[in-house]
This record gives sequence, structure tokens and C-alpha cells, in this order.
Amino acid sequence: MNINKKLSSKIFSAAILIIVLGSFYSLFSQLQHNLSAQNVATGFGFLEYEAGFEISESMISYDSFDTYKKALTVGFFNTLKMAAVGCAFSFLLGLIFGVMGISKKHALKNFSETYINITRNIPLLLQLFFWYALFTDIFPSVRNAHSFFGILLSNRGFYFPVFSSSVVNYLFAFSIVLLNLGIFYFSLVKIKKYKGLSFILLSIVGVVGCIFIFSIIFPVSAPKLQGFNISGGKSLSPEFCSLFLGLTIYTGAFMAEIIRSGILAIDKGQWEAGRSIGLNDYQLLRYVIIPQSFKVSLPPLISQFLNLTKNSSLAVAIGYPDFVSIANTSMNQTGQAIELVGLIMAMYLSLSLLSSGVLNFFGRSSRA
Amino acid sequence: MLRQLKKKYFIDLGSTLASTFILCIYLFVGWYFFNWLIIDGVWVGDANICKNSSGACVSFLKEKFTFILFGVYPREYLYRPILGIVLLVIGWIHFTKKKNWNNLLFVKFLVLMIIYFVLLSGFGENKVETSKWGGLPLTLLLSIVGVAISYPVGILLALGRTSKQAVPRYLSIVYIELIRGVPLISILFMSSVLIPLFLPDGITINKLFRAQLAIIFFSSAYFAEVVRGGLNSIPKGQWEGAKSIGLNYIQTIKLVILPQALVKVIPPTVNTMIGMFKDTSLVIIIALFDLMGTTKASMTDSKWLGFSVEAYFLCAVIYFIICSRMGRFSKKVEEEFQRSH
Repeated sequence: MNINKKLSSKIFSAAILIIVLGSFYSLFSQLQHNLSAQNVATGFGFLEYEAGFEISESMISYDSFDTYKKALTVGFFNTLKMAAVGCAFSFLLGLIFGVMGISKKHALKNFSETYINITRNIPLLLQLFFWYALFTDIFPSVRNAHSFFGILLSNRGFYFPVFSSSVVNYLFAFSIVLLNLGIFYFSLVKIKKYKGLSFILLSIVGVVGCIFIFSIIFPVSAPKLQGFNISGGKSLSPEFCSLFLGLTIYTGAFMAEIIRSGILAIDKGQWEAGRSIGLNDYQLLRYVIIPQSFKVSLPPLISQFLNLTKNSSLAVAIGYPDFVSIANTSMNQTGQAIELVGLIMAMYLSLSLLSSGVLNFFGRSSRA
Repeated sequence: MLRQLKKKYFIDLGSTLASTFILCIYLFVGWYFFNWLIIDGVWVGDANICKNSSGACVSFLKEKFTFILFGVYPREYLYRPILGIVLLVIGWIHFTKKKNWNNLLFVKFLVLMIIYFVLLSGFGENKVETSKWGGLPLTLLLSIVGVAISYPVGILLALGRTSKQAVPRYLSIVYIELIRGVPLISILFMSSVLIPLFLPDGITINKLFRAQLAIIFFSSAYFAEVVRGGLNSIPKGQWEGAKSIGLNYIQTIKLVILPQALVKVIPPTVNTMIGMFKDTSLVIIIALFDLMGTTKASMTDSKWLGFSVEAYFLCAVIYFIICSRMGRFSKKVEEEFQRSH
């Protein structure tokens, strides 16, 4: 009977294999037949042709005489840019709302729940359309741009002042981060009561002070209205802003939920034990709670990062030139659908394999 | 009541400050919204009156309400999708009751799905072409047929992935990881552009069916992962017990393992369903007129231009109601499970 069973399972496996391979074979032979009937050339040769379309924003130099390859590279970097910025800010948002969700202050908890509820139950695409409509339909034209503290908001995008030299800008960002880390540590360790409140207040004072000091020392380039356009400063396009807002707010809600449940998953005894051996709140979080909850929430967090990256492909709906959107334009121009869809899939697959590799590596090292 | 409120929100200085701050945010948003919709909102009047007002153009929504909900579905047969939606609501109420969770549920679900489909399409002289389907009924159709097919496929894939035999296991792993690694858009592109290339001459598949295929391909991988979680949570003793009373593999799966595993993962299954329901909105990218598509199309009327925020608002409310109903059910089941453990 045992031999019989083994044999039948082998036959079953072989049958599945034959069916799958057979259907693949017939599909591909049909594909070849259809392609030759339609006179479509296959292969990646078209990547060297001139693309002939403009791309509204790019991190590397590009013009319409460049090749499809270059255009797709531009799209790839735009996707990476959106993914990097989106991941960072949605994690921040998730952290804030996740911690608010376990707060003893019911109002904060309620606020976090409302945020999660609203954003998770409305399709991301709709949220993107909404933010985009806000920019293009609601915000005023450049001439009547909303302006506050040197920031200009119009239907052409978001303009903000920067320091004239880029080194100073990096220095500024670095010192803001350092300052906030310092304040975070200080308010958790040194202050007895109202830690959260004092952190927020100190941080605001610190950032404002930093801006003040820097702008006295270094020259500032502020956006100004000149004719029909805005010059100076730095600008973000409405497409970038709406995609960024949509992705960050949407993914942030999922991250908040993950972080909240990660902290809740830690046994109450851990908190009590930590307190009983005299740890203060900072030490308790840093050495007891966060390391344990991190282990629970890291895998779902990574998968949210991946989701955000994949969701950034919705850029095609609002016209941010990401990889998918440029591949789509190329597809319409060249008709090389198979190659381009293959490229899109390969791009996202390699990103997700890469990140799961990284996750496995860290998972192993944190367990060891 | 007041004392409770005080105890909850205003115990000490910190919580009082936080509560006041959050209350201010709520009041501000609420007041802004109230102003926009009620005080400045134009409830009666045409587009010109709307353009001069800073508030919402409700008369635009009144004008376009049927179009956003049902698209270009023939007006004389409108009772059919409405009846279909009513049936779906009744079905949802019926299916979410715990006493109905048995094998018959799948049969009922299938029957409901077929009735819904027949109601939409009609037959004989009353037939309505799929190209005329749109709005909420189409969104519901895409999600319901999607669930009905991709859930069983997902179960098969999950069984394949947990199987001891190499061929089904590796095939399932490759399929699941491949699909989960790419965005839905790429699969929609693939199905809309590539499927015609794979078909023999003379055979064409309509756009709706292709989109449906893409959604099924996509969500079956996600259902598979959810079901796999359930399968992994079944203790080994259950398998051994089934073996010891002489059940074979198929009997064990059907009678012992799946009934337990599927019930255990109801909350994540419903969450996947919510995700799928939201994801059907992506079919707008391949030019189908689901709820999102009709919402977008309603803004292109040259008589009523520039009221996109109002249309999106209505669309968001509909999505929100449906998704949060499903979410509440999933949360309820989860809490029930936690209490019973």
C-alpha cells in the first residue's frame, strides 16, 4: 500500500508538471505565432532608440533626444526617490500615531484610531486623486499663491526657501536631526512629568532656534514671484506632493497599527519587571520594550515598506514620472508590451527579493 | 456620564491639555467641513451659482448621483442592479452570523453570485452589454467574483505550498512570491495588453473579463498566504489524529484541517477582502468604469467643471461605509477569538 501511495503521489506531481509546462508551451507558441503575424519585433533593441518625450522631473540630466534606456533609468530613480522619502516619513507618522494609540490619554488614543480608521478604509488611488485635485483645482494660481513664512503654495507646487549652498543645507538637516535626538534623550531621562509634552515644546523651540541662527549666518534663497513664475528656493511638483502625501498618510496608518500591536504584544509583566528593577521610562523602552516589539513588528513593517514601493506605481494615475508611468508611455509609443511589462515586474521583484534578503540577514543576526 | 467623561479625558493636567488640543482639532475640522457642506454649500442651483460660492456644490452631486453610482447602465433597468445590491447586503448580514458558518455557506455564496451576475446582465431582450456596466455594481461584481474564485485558488496554493511534494510546493512558492512581489498595476497591464497576444486568432476576451482575471491572479496569492498562516497554526496532533483514524490526505484536509484553519484566519481573510475591494479601483487605469471610474467621468461634463473634490468626497463616503462595515466584522470576530482563548 505504501508503494502504491508513493507511486500515486509521483504520478500526481508529474501530471501537474506536464500540465503547467504544456500550457506554458502552447501559450508561448501561440504568442510567437501572433507576434510574427502582427510583425512585432521582439527583444530589447528598442531600448537604444530615441525616446522623444519629455519627463517633467528627473534626478539625472535627461532630454527628449535621449534613449528609452535613459528614460527608464530616470523613472527608476524617481521611483526610488519616492520610495525612500515615503518610507521614512510614513514610518515617522506610524511611530507617532502608533505610540499615541497606546497612550493613557484617551483623547490621543481616539485621535489615532480616527486617523487609522479613515485612511485605511478609503482606496489609496482615491486619496491620491483627492490630493492631486487639491493642488490643481483648489490651490490658487502662482500669482495668488498662499504664502506663509516664505513658503509658497500654489497649483504649480510647493515652494520653500533653502540656503544658497547645498553643503549648508545638509549641515542644517544634520543638526536638526541631532538636536531632536538630544532633546528626545533629555526629555525622557531628565524630566519627571509630562515627557511627551516637553519633548514637543523643546523640539519646536530647538528647530525654530536652529532656523534663526542658520539664516543669520548663511545666505538664504527664498522663492519669489517673478512675472508668471516663481524663482529661487526649492520646489516640489504637485504630482510629487500629492503622491508623497497620499502614500505617506495611507501607509502611515498601516504602520501605526503594526507598531501599536507590536508594543501591545509585549507582556504587561515586562513593563512591571522593568519598573521594579528601577529603570526609568527611557531605559525601559530602550532596553526592554522596543527590542522585543521590534522583533514582532519588523517583518510586517518591511512588508509595508515594500507595499509603499509597489503602491508608488499608482503614480501613473496622477502623472508623476515613476518607472511604471514611463514604461507605460514607452509601451504606447513602441508597442513593446511584453518587454516593458517584463521590465516592470523584474524591477519590483528584484527590489522585493533584495529587501527580503536584507530582512533575513537582520533576522538571523538579531536572533543570534 | 459627565463624571465618566471627566475620568476618561480630564484626569490630570497632561490629559486635559491633550484632550483640549485634540478637541480643538476636531472642532476646527468639523466647523470647516460644516461650513463647506451646509452653510456655504449650494444645495439648489446650477453650475454658475456653484462657481460663485466657496462651499460644496451639492447640486452637482444630486445631478450626477445616479451616474456615479451606476454609470451608463440603461435607466429603465436600473431596478436590477439596485435589487442585486440589496441581495448582497442581505447576503452579507446572513454570512456574518456565526451559526451560518458551514459547508452550505459556499454553495449559498455561489448561488448569490450567479443571481447577482444574471441580474446585471439580464437575458434575451433585456440583455445589457458588459460595456454598459459601471459604478458601484461593477466594483461589487469585480470584488465578489474575485473573492469567489481567488479564495479557493488561494486555498489550493496554500495547500501546495505546505505540501511535502516538491513539484506543487515549488510551483506554489514561485507563483505566490512572483505575484506578491509586483504591483497590481503591472498585472493589470499584463492582462489588458498581453492576454490578447496569447490567444488564438479569432478569440477575444472582453475588457471586463480581463480585469477580473488580473484581480483573481493577484488576490489568490494574498489569500494563499493568509490560508497558509491558518494551516501552520493547526497543531501536528490534528494531522496525526486524523491519520490514526485512517483518513487519507484529502479527507484529512477536508474534514479536519481546513474547517479549523479557515475559521482561525477569518479576520485576516476579511482584511484581504477589504484590500481587494479597495484595489478594484485600479481598473480605472485600464479604462473600466467602476465606482472610481464613474466618479472621474462625472467631472468631465463640460456643464459642471471643477467640482472634483465633491465627487471624490461622495466616492470616499461610499468606499468608507462598505470597508468599515467589513472591518468592524473582522474586528468583532478577532475579539471573540481572543475572549475564547
